Amino acid sequence: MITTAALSAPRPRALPAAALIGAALLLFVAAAATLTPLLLPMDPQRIVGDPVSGPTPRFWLGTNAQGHDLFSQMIYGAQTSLLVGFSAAALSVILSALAGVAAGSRGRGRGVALTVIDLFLAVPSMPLAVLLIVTLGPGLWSLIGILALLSWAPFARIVRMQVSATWGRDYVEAARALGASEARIIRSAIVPEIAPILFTKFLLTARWAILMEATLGLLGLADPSRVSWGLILHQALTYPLLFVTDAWAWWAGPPAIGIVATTLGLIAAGREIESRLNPSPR
Amino acid sequence: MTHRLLRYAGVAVLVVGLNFLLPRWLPGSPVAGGDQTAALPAAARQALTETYHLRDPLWRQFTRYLADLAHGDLGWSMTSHRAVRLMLAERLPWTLGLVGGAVLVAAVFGAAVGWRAATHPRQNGTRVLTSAVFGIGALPEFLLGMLLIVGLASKLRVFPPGGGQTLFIDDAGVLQRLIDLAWHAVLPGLTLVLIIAPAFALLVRNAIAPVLGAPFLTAARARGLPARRLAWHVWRNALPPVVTLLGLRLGAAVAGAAVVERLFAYPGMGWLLFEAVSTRDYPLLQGIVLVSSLAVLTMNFALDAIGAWLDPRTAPS
Repeated sequence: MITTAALSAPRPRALPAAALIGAALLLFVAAAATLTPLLLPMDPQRIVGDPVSGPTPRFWLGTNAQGHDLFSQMIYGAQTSLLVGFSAAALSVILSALAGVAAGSRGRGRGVALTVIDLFLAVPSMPLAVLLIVTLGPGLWSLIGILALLSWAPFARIVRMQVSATWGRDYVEAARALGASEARIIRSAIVPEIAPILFTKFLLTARWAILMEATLGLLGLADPSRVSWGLILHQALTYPLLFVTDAWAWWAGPPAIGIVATTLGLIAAGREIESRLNPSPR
Repeated sequence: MTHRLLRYAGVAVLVVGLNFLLPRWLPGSPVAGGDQTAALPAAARQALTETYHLRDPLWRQFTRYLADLAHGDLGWSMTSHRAVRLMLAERLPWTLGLVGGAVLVAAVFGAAVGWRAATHPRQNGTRVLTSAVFGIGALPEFLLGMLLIVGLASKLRVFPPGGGQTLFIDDAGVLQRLIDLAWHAVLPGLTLVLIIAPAFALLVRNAIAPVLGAPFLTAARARGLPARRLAWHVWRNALPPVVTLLGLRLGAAVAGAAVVERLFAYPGMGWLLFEAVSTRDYPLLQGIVLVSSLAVLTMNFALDAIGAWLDPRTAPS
């Protein structure tokens, strides 16, 4: 006998500590990023003090080799990092979804989509990213485009498997027999099936893109006209006495910690959201 | 198999074609004198155009480019005025030693951690070990490298903070040079091992854990098989994914570990890439990209071929 208790909605679980910390970290970085113009104590690109001086009451994190305020640069860099991470991830999700649905459905685009996915899966991403950025010139939007272009293919394959499995389900068969159009089936049956994995992909790719921004920045490929955490790290490492003095602690440390906090926050929040969207035990 | 071969050949053509076309798509011309107010004299321009066959149709330039590639000619570096091929040959041993060695060590270490995590999941020692390995592995490699430099090189001065060898070490004996090389490789190598090992640990644990309670193992134990034979039956399941990951990592190793080499000023391919980027040395950059891309492609293709043999279930039907 089924009791009403079994039918009622499960009691909401308490948020685990990891998810809470993750969400707090993300919120903190996001707040810093969105409130940038209000929070900035000074223009991050103006010379406001002596070059390479440690933290003082005026410059909380000291100044870099040009005499820019590092605290302002940190806040401004948070904005760039989140912008790159979330825009590249959003673009990448859209590409994955379009290609995956096209390759998993029965339309005419199937063969083309499969070939393009296979091609991009085999492309070595890191060398190509470097080559493209150097040729196109470093810039925020070209970076976002390149990161999206190099990250969509693996997930398109996962989406494709999910989509072609859904096409084989009985209820889809029934809907087709009732005369539902392909577009309608994709909208009402396919999209709800792939939405959770796309959300997970969004968080994973955002994390990857933020790390890639820093990595490419470290190699000197950050846009020098826009402050980012990668650019701060690059400029810090160009300073020859970084590890000889305590400059690493207030110059290279904060952007590195910012990147770790953001990426860990994304993982922790993502895991919790994923387990709620997909309650089946794995 | 032929289908896969075609796919990889297609990507190789794409990479080579991009390498050829990208500089030609860029605005400007190699004989136009750039920003300098004094433009090149007409005679010099004429000579340059003829030397580099710039007036030829694009397909003719492309076939010439392919012919040069086939002879191993990767062009001429713009900043150091040396053949790109020689510069790559100089750096490759450093990178293969450091990154290749680190990948192998990380595979063995990661596999050991994964084995222990699967066989003794409830021991406290295992829990400490796995959370340390996965926790450290979750850090970005530049942060880990920086921490190691600060702690072990800058504060304690146990290891050198960077470089591949001590200056003027060439005069010393062979043994002393080997020790010096190893000493310099410890910190960058350790960074790479700690970053790479968790993936191997995870793979081995996930491949082994479901097999441990499998009926075939109980049957084998009941037949009285020695422990070593039993262990091999378990390991057999982890082999295909581990070999695949190992291959992917080794293929990528040719490109070097750009971040770690930059941090430790290690004279490998990654550092060369950084130098090429900062001086905008296009021929050098293209040589690095081409060689490392082809290495990745070759390795992926070899893995596809080996994979079917290691695990017949994945063979294309």
